[in-house]
Amino acid sequence: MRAPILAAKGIVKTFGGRRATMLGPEAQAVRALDGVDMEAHAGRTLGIVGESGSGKTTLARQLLMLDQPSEGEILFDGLSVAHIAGERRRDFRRRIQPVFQNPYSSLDPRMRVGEIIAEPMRVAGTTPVERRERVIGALVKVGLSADDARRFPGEFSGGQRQRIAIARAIASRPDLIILDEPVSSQDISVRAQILNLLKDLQEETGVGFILITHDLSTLRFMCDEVMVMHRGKVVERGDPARICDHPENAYTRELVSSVLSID
Amino acid sequence: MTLLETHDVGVSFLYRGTRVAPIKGVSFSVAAGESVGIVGESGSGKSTLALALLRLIPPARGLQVSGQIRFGGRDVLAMSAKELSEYRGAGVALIPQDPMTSLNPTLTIGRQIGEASALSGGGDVSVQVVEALRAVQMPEPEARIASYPHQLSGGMRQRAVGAVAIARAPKLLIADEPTTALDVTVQKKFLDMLVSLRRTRGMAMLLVSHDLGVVARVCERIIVMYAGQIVEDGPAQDILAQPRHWYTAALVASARSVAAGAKRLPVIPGAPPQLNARPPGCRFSPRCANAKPECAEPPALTVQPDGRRLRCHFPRGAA
Repeated sequence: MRAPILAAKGIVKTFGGRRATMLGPEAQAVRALDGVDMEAHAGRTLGIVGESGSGKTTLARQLLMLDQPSEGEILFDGLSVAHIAGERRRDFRRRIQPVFQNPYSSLDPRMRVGEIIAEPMRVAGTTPVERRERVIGALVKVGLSADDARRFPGEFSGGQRQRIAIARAIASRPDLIILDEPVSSQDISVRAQILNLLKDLQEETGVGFILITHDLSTLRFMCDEVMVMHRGKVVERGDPARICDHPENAYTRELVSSVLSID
Repeated sequence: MTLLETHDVGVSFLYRGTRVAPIKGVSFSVAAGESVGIVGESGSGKSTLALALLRLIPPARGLQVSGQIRFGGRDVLAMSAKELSEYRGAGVALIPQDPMTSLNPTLTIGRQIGEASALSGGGDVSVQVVEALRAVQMPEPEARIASYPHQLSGGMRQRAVGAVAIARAPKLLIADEPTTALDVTVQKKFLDMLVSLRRTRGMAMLLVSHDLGVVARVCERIIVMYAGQIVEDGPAQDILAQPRHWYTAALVASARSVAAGAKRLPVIPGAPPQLNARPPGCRFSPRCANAKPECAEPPALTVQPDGRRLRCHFPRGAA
């Protein structure tokens, strides 16, 4: 296998915590991430599953360089991102793209869809003509039309908005997209459409995904590898079918047995 | 014995000068002690229906609530303010979706449950509060009385909301997406608590959810709503095993676990229609793979030979 695009080594993230002073008593720091290792590769999907408070979104924030880990390293193309700057930082921002959970808050309501999709490409040194072409290309790829570039997010349904967010992510031709619960705010009938779309895009472009979800059936369908997080630690990792059918860790077993199914 | 009966219930209001109807012609009944699930996607009208049953539809321009809602033989839409305050709480109680916003952050849990149970009058309120907390399986109920909502986890908060709802021993408990804001491990425990609560208290329950898995765990009967109308209504087992409306069938297919190595997930093309753009005939027909020219005529909700109610000209499994 080729070298990972993005890797985490021993990531620790703590919040709060202070020594006792005249202002107040000692407070224990919360270890939101407690020594997490992972690797993400092009063309593959790594699933991260866990409940609220497990640290999955905190991990995504470290991986997107939206936050700095307290300890440990994030490696981009094998090099630490701790002091990344200039051209390499722009390269990171182009090649690693996010898609967030709620397309009602992740799209600026005052920007036209075309501007929204073009924005990440501005750091990538593209010309306006190139950008316009790629915006239209991305819209068509996600199942919207070129005319939609002139409209505002408010004119679209939840599922269409998430398509716009995906178009924004793919327009700059990234190597890796980090998707944080991309379908959990969507209706059941729209969920499947979005997941199928993501799978098609991966097949077509070879982009890698990190997919954060609490839904096991999404994991099973989408992922090549899964890591289960609980209280900031990775408690189990492996093949999604194996994890869903034969979980080894006690917490994973509880998670799997809590899934309500109609089968 | 019929506890709740609605006949031709509609809710409509004015939107940019035209009348739109989130729900229309909704007729169904709930027997005493029965558990019924109402399933639908966003815009199906399921939450509007739940609010209409409690007469809690928020004011809107030109709001009209039509039809009949009868509870224990009494006309809910004709109730006076005094009758309503008895009906809400002692007749029908609601567990809303979000336990973060449905509790008052400045009052203790005990106080909020006590407010509800004191309305019933008589008895020691603090005893009743502990009893309500015990009924929703709150851990350490005596200790929780003095807790504020922010001191509780999401699951415990939703249990506290549940305790408020059952404090006056309602005959019907309406739960509107009660576990959507909860983690899966917490969700399962909360639903199991609802099941045992219903059994021990002999309450009827109306569980509103978009999640067939949730409804399947709790309910004996399922009502499927689409674009403001009931499209199918029948025993839960039958509906899940053999859905007869094409929309129900698509929902059931999306809820089944995915086969290993599946290349595509089953999809329902398109999206549910907007409130002001619902198709004139069968409302599902533009998304239905089996639509025929006749589907331009609106189908009626009819009782089938197997006892199910169905709104489809060409149901699945028909010869």
